[in-house]
Amino acid sequence: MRASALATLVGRDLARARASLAGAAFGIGAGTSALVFFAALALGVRAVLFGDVFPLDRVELEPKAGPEPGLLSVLLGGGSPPPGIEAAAIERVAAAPGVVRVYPKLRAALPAAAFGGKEIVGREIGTHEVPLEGLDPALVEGELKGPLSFRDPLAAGGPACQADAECGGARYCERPSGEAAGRCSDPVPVLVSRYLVELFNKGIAPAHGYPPVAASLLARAEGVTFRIELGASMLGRAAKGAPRAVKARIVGVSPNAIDLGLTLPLGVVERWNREYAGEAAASRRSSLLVRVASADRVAPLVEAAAREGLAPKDERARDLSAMVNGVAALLGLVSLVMLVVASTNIAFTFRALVAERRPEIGLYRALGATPGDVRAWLLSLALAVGAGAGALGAAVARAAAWAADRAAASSLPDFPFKPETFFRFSPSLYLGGAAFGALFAVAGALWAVRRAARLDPARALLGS
Amino acid sequence: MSGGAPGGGPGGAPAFRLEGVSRRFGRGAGARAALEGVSLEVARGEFVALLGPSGAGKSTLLAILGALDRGYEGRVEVFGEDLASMPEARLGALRNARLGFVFQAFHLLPHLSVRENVAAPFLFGGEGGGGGARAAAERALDRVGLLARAGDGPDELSGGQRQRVALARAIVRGPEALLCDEPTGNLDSATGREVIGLLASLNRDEKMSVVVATHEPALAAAAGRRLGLVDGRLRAEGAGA
Repeated sequence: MRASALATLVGRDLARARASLAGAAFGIGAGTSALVFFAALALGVRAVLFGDVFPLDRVELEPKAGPEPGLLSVLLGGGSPPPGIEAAAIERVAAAPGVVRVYPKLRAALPAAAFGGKEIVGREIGTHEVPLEGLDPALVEGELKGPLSFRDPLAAGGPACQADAECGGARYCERPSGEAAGRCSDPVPVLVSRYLVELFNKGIAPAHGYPPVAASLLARAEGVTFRIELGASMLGRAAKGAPRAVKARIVGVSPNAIDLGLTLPLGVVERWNREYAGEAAASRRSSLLVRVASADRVAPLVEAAAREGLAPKDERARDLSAMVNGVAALLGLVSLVMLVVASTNIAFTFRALVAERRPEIGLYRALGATPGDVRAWLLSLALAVGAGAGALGAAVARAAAWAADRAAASSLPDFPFKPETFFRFSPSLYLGGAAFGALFAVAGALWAVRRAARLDPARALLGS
Repeated sequence: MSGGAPGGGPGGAPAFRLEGVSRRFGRGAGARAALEGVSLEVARGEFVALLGPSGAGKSTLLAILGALDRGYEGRVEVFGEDLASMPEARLGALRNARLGFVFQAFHLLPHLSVRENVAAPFLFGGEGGGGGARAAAERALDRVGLLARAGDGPDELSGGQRQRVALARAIVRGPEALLCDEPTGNLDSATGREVIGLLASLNRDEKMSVVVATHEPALAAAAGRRLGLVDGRLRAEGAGA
């Protein structure tokens, strides 16, 4: 039988038995809708959790914690040397299978404080103790939208100077401790985390009567300079070097910035560590952010890293991944149960349809239809019903997701990493929904179709 | 007793040839024989009437001749080909293009128009149901005098008109043989005569072989040969008009 003839038969049936077929299709549509909705929710939550919060294709490795030094060691000034990762170990990690790139990080080994913000909140604010961390600028390449860049301002050198006034504009004279002369430098670029912004908005700003840092205000803050005091803080002074101040400016908010503190270009922290803590603190790295080709390359990387004495800094991603997968599987199972129930409904409908149409099926056989033609006709009908119901279910899921996102936007409080949508739909998800609907409809109809194909046309037509 | 044809007729092999055909329904002690050792030959272009009481096996014989029932014993040839060795696809093609069926209950599809009912065989003939099918359906309706009702539904027609539509459906593909099961059984005598006239003219003008199962004396009288079936056996035979 030709496809056009099959389409004619199916089209006539859809028009003729639309009420009973629509009833049977309702369950398929509802099941598919639930399946697509939960799948999109799981994909969306995974995208936020493992794309922004805990990227699954990235692992941060740091030296394994050594044994506690003990009170006597502390009193005697002994204990382990400061941990750090040497260049050779970094090269070996970079050569491990599946590693796309390694981004070193370096924590500042000096006390620091930061002050400024008058241009934003109307008066100077600050903190007498601020952690600093250096980051490979390549990691945030492409993140910054404005004209400001995140790189060591002295990487290409600068004119010699003795004082800030000689440099002009926003520039300042970067003059390390004990050096006879410094070099004019642009303010040090700084990245802050979304978490820090939220903390300020929700905790610090209300307590001190400051305005929250909204997106527009943050845009104003980008480029505004502030002061970082190096070598001394509320908790004490550095063992080496003399306290001094440098100019810095916020160039953006980044998910790669440390949660609490300021993130600077790696070269800047390296210089300051050398100045205040010595060469070892400058040449080693605190941790390595490793990007792998896919999430399944993380386990072999962790094994390779263990041989270098390194361990993942945060294993929450893997725990959360297992939990999200478990919840998604459970919701998927519920949807599949709905589809199985709907499939039995299809089975009843097709059984009744075949019983009711025995003479018609017999007539078609007399007019030349083979058992294969009868199977193709009724399976195509089931396929059309299932695929139509599945596609409709997927569309309903999309509408429900839109409504859920709207409700979340208006009723959920802001929180770090709050996404614009909790769902991720893709063409393959829609197609998958329609295919699942079709699959379960065909499965439900199979038994009745088999009976129809085996129907004795002589008995159906002649009663012989 | 066997029913041999008076002659081979045109085209060489006879339209139908049965050798010792039996058909039983049920199994074991409850089995019932609908046909018992029937041998029969129907020549091409011949008009044969099968006569006999209800339950004599007339419909069973028609179903076997029409390749609708293959649960028989013995040998059945249609246009010289043994049905037992034919695959389903060829059986379907045989029923679709070379045989036409007319039933007592018409078996028209109420959700389709008269034209669509008549064109239905084209859905299974490999040509689809396009413009060619529509034109052929209208020619067949014209042949039975119902072209003016092509757009109507079957429910809008009288019993006689419905049977003429069923006859148009049976001849729309230009078959070589018609198999008719009590084609006038649901009709009054006047409309029955119309159908008998059409069958006779198809046999006479188109040289179609016609085998009818009937109780109707007028229809039997139109046949060239009459065969009696009693308890599944061919009992009597006679030449007609």
